[in-house]
Amino acid sequence: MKSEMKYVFVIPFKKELVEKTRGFKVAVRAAEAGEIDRISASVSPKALHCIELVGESLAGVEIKKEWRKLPLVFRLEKAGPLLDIIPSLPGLSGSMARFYFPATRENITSARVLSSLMVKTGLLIGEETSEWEALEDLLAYDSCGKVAHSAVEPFLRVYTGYKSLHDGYDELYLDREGVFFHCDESGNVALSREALRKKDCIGSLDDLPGLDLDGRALAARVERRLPLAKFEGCAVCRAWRVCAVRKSEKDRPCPRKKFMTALLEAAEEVNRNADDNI
Amino acid sequence: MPNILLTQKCVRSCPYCFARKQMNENDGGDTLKWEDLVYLADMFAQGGCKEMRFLGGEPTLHPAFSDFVAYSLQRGFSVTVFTSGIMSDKVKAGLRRVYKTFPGADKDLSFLCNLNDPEVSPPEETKKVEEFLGEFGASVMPGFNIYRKDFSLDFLFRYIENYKLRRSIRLGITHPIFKENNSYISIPGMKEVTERIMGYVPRLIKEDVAPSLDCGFPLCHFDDAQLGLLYKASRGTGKFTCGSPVDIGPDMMAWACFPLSGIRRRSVYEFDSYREMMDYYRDLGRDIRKESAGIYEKCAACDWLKRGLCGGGCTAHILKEMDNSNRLGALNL
Ligand code: SF4
Ligand code: SF4
Repeated sequence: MKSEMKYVFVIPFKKELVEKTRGFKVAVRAAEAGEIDRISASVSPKALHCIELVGESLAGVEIKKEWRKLPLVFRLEKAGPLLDIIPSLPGLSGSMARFYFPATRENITSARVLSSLMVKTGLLIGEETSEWEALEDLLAYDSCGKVAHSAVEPFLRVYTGYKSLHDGYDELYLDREGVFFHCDESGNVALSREALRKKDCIGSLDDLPGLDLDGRALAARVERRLPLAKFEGCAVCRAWRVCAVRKSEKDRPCPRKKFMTALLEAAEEVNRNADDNI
Repeated sequence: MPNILLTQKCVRSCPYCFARKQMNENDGGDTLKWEDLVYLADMFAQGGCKEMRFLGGEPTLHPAFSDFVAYSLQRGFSVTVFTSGIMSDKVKAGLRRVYKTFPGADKDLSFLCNLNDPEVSPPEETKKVEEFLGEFGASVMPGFNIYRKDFSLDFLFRYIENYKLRRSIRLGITHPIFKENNSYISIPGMKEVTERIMGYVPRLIKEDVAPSLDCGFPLCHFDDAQLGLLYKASRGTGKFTCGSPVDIGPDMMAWACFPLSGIRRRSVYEFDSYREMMDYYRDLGRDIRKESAGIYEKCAACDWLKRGLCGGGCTAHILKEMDNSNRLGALNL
């Protein structure tokens, strides 16, 4: 892989930003669905990591036939009433689009319902999550369900990437420092979504060498692995490979540990079954 | 076929209510969760069951009722809703949307509406029921629970004509609920009930309304001529056996049927499959009938029972009789 292709710039859809990031992978934030066609015409499929849209609810989201093969990622607040969603289900379930929701109790339930209707969903599971029991229940449904359903992220990522997974699943959220670089409309670059929101930028797309992407990537990797250096907390947690949080120093005992361990075990089980079937 | 209780709340207080024991033991706050509906849909689909039957209380009181119906239809189930017909404007608006979203829903969605005689019902209730029938009548099969021997079916004929309801009437006979004090038709009283039903058969045939007898009617209460007429009236669908139903509460506890709701309750989650759950409650009926074949002593030697044409009446009566004669100990309840 060319070294540029290791990094993904997350940019708003602006012609100049697309030009400035040529040669790199890009995740393009569309301000509205109307931009999707223009984005797919401007960015080569090889360079397009995904098109991200932010919205309120799934109700009213239409996936056109031409978009079915596009890597669309929606970040929504909630799913909304099922009766509002059903009319668009054929498009939603027959496409590559995935719909992410914050992991609230209501959204965890929606993920199960939508998954059983073959819609690709995902939950944003991070430091702020607290519904661990409901998540564990959903995980049991997702990994042991006897009837066909669409696997929920980040569970799917952990099952399928389990053997090579060492840093959790947060790249799904475009939020792994040192891999994803978040840009604003003016081309200012930050290391994370949150840092960009706080305008805590490391440089500009106008000075790509000055961003020192390789150096940033190395530093971020070290930072991520730092909690594993001490013989305590995350370092002695079985689930560290799959966990995208790794903040055990903040709260002990770690409230995530039970769920993350269940996620690890589900991945082990799925992979054991796959190996047995070879 | 299992029935799923979406909620324990009800809007009526029928004297014969089968569900009262259930509702009394519950504060009515419980409603079936989405997670559990998905679980049941998966379990049913895997077990080859293609129908969702929603009961209550009054199932339309469930806050996600219309979405539950839509979900089930989307999963490919047909849906039957057992309702009083008394529902809010919001629920009716939700149902309108279901019909709009699923253009073929009139085929897959039906209401079994248990109707009470307007003569003995509060006018406000009757008004609401009639509003419902007026709008959704084409999907409604009327039902009537017989809890008095002097019942009248006249109002049902009127309803079928006025509201273009489906041309059949499900006739249920009320049974004793185990260890409860509900109004029901005693075994000696059943003969009068069957005679009264037979009195309606010529009219049923003339007006092409098919009676559908619910479980618990003894075959021997009808003579051959009556059976012939019933066969014709019901378009050849009559039966006198127990369908081994299973009811599932909003808390996912299962039991055999309302009259037996206090017996061998188990969580749905304890069963590995749909088949295992259905077999468990079928076997409960068999266990009881091993001790007592039917509602009469003569049932034990009855040819119709051996040939599977009669179930020997309702298990609820058998249990009541066993309880009265202190023979329940023989059953591992
Ligand atoms: S201790 Fe907690 S935060 Fe650390 S790796 Fe384990 S689950 Fe994650
Ligand atoms: S089984 Fe019992 S109730 Fe049924 S027909 Fe025979 S005697 Fe009558």
